Amino acid sequence: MRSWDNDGFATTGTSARAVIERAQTSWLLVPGVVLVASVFLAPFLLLFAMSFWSQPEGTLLVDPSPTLGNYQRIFSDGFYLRGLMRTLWLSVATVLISLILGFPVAYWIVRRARRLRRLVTALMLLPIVCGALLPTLGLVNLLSPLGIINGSLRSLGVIDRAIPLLGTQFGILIGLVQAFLPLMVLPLVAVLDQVPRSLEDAAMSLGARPAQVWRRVVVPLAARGALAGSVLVFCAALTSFVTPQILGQGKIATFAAMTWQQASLVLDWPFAASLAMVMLMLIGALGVSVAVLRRSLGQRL
Amino acid sequence: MSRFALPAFTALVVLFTIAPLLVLMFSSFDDGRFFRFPPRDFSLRWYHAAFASVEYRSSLLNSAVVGLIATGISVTFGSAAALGLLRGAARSRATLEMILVAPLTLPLVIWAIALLQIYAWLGIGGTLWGLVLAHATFTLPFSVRVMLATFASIDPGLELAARSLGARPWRAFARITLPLALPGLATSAALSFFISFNDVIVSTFIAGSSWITFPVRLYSQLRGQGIDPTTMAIGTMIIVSILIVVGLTELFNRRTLRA
Amino acid sequence: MTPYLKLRDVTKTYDSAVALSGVGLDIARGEFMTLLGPSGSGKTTLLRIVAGLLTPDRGTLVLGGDDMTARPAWERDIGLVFQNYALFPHMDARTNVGFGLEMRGIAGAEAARRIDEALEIVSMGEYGTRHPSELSGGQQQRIAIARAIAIKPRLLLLDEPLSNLDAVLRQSVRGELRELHSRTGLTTIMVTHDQVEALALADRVALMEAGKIVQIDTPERLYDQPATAFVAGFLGAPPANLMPLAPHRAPGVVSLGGAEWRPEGVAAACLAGLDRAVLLALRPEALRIVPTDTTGAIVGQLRAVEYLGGERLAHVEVVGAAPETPTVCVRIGHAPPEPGQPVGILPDAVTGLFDRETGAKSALPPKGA
Repeated sequence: MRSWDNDGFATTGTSARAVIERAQTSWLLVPGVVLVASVFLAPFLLLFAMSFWSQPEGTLLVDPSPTLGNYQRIFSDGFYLRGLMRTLWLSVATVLISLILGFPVAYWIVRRARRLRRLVTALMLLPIVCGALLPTLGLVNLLSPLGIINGSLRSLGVIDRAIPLLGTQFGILIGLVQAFLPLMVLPLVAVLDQVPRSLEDAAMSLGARPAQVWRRVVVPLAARGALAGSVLVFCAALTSFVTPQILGQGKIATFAAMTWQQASLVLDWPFAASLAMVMLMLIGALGVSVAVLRRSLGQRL
Repeated sequence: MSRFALPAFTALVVLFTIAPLLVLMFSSFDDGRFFRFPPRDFSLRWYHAAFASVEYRSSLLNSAVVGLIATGISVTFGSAAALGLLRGAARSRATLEMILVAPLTLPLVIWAIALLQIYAWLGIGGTLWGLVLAHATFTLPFSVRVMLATFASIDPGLELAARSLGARPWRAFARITLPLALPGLATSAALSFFISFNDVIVSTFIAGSSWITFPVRLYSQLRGQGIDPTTMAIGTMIIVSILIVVGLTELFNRRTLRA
Repeated sequence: MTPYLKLRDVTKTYDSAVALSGVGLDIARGEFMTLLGPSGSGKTTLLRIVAGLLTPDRGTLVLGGDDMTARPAWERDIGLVFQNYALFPHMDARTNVGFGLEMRGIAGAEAARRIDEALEIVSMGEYGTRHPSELSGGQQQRIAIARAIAIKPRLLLLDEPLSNLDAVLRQSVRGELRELHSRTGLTTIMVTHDQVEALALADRVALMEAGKIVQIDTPERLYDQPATAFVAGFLGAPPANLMPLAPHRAPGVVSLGGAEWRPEGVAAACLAGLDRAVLLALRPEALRIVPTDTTGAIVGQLRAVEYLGGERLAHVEVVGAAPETPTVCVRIGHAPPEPGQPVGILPDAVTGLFDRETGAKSALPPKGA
C-alpha cells in the first residue's frame, strides 16, 4: 500500500514528482530512444541476417541468399574453435581475478574510504575514460623485454634473461584485468552501498569474527553486484580485441580479434557477422543463465 | 586481518589499475627511440616532435571535432531522456531505460560490425557524420546515467516551491533545476567527450580514409610499425587534460552546491 | 458571513486509490485552521490541491470570491512552506526570500524593502547572505516562512512545519507560529499528524480519516464531543478507551465486552435505554480506580502500571470479559495497588457512544424512555 501523505512534499520525492505533469514530459525521451533504437539496436537485426549471407571467395560482392556456410566454417575449422576456447578461458580467468582483486577494493571504497572515496572512484574510472589504447601503450612499456618489470628485475640481479610477458597469454590476461577491473568494482560498490553497516555490526555483536562476517553477511549480500560485475567483465573480455592484439603482439588470436580481422582486413563482412553472432549468442546464453540465477538469489534476498 | 591489510591491498590494486597510464607518462620523457628501463636519458624530445607533427595534429583535430559534436548530441539527448524517465509515466520506465543504456550493456564490437555494412549502404562510412552518429550513440548511456543521478538528487519540491512563488513551469525549471544540474551536465559532457575522443573499438571499423581519428591512426601504427615515442607524449598530454578537466569539474561541483 | 476559502466536493484519486473523497471545507478570513490526521488520511493531498500543485478530479475551490479551481499554482498567490523547507540551495537567503518578488517583476528598492520586512518578521535580518547549507534547520524554516510571506500571500499553507525540528525547538517554534499568525493576520492552513500541535495552535481543527473530513471543530469541542469513534480513538494521549457495550436481559445491567456491569450515576443516565450494541468511549482521565465493591464500578484486575512522570497509566482487564476485549486505560495520580490485584473502575463522565459498524455517533432514546 502506498502512502500519499506521510512524507511531505519531497522527502522521498516520488509523490512530488507525480505532481509535475507526466504526459507532457514523455516526448523528452523520443530523441534518445530513437537514436539508440535506430543506430544501435536495429543493426543487430541486420547482423543476424548478414551472418547467413555469403561472399564468394575473391570478390567483395555479397550474396544475400541464406546459407549456413559461415557457421559451418566456424564450427568445423579448428582455428576458430581453438580461438574461441582460448578466448573463453581468458575471459573466465579475467572475471575470477577481477572478482578477487575488486571485492576488497569495493568494500574499502564503501566502508573506509570517506574523503578518499571520490578520488579512488575517479582513479578506477580513468582507464574507461582513456579508451583501450592509451593504457595498452603503457602496458607494452611495462611488459616488454626492456620494459619496467624486466628492467627492474634485471638491475636487481634477479634475472639475466628477460621473462617473456609480451606475446604471452599471461601478458594479455594482465591487460584484460587492468582494463576491465573497474567494471567489476563499480557494480560491487553500488550494491555494497545498499547494505547497511548495522548488519555487520549485528553479526559481530552475535559473535561473528571479521572473517565470518565477510563470509556470512558481506559476501552473500554483495552477490548481486558480483554477478552483475562478472557479466560485464566477461562480455568485455570476450569481445576485446585491441588489448589482446597489441599485448599478444599478433601472435595470440582471440575470437574478437579474428572477427576484426575478417571485417577490416579480409573484408569478408558476412563471415565477420557470423563470428560476431557467435559471440552474441554466447552472451545471450550467459544472460539467460544469470537471469535464472538471479531469480533464485532473489527468492532468498 | 590486520588493520592495514585492506587499505594496502586497495592501494596496490588501484596502483595496478593506473600503472599503465603512469608508465605511459613516465616513458614519454625517455629520450630513446625505443623505451628501456632504466632509461638512459630524459628529454622533451618527443613533445617537440608531437607539436611539430602535422599528421598527428590533423588526426587529433579530427578526434576533437567528432568528440565535440557527439558530446553535444549525447548530453542534450541524454539529459532530456533522463528528465523524461524521471518525470514520465513509471510503467514503461524500466524498458525505456534499458533501451537507452543498451550501448553500455551490449558489446560495441558486435554492433560495429553491423554498422560497417549499414554505413557502406548509406555511403557514410569513414565520414565525419558517420563517426558522429556512432559516437553520439555509444556515449549517450553515460549522459543518461549521470543525468539520471543528477536530476534524481535534485528535490522536485524545489521546482514546486518556485511555482507556488509564482514561477511558470518553464521558468521554474530554468531558474532552479537547470543551475543545480550544471555540475552533472559538466560531468556528462567531460565523460562523453573523452570516451568519444579515445574510442578505437568502434572507430576502427567505421573509419575510412577521409576522417581518421587519433586512436585509429595510433592503432594501425601499433600493429604495423610498433610504438612511435611521439604518441607517448601525445598520450600523456591527453591523460593530463583528462585529469585537469576532472579536477575542474570537481571544483565546479563543490562551488555550485556549496556543501 | 461568506467564508474566505470555500472547498466543495473535492475528490482526488491516485491510480485507483482514493486519496480524497468529496471534501468540503470553509475557512474564515484570518482563521488558523489545522488539518489533522494519520498518515494516508489525505491531508497533504488536500493542501497540495489548495496550493494548486495537484489538480482535483472533481470539486471547486473558491478563495476570496475568486474561483481558483482551474488556476495554476503560479497564479494563485498562495504561500506554501514545505515540510523540508525546499530552499533553493544555489541561492542565498535573500535571493530565496526575494524569489517570489522576482517572479512578479518586483525589483530594486521595493524588493529589498519587502525582503527586509519578511526577514524581520522571522527575526532573520542578519542571515540574508547565508546559503541554506550554512543555516540550521530552525533557521532554514524561518527563511522558508519569510519566502512564503514575502509575496503577501492570500493564504499561508504550512506542511508539517514542526516535524523536522527537535523537541526543544518545536516548543518555541509553536509559539512563534502563533505569534506570526496574530502579527500578520494571514489566513493559515497547517497540516500535521501531531495532535498536540493541532490542538495547541489552531482556531479550528479539521480531523481527516481515509480521504474524508470527519469533524471540523474547535480543539475543545473536538476533544470533548468527538463526532465518531475514530475521533475519540485518535485524540488524546492515550486516546479514549473504546469498549464494546451491549444491552443485557437484566434491567439496569449492561454487557461490557461480555462482563456484567451495573452503571450508576452519570454513566447510568447516559446508558439508560441502551437498545443495541455500541462502542463506549471513556477518557482515561475521566476514570477512577476504586475498591471493587463500589457501586457502579466496573470490576477488573490491574494488569500493569506505566509511570509517566507525575502521573501513571493503569491498564485494567475487565473481569469476565471476552478475551478480545481491550484493557481499560486509567490515568491516575497516586500509586496504585500492586499489579494483579482486583480493582474497580468508576467513570465520572462518558465521552460518547458510537455505532459498532460505522463508528458514527449513536443517539439513544431520550432519558427515561
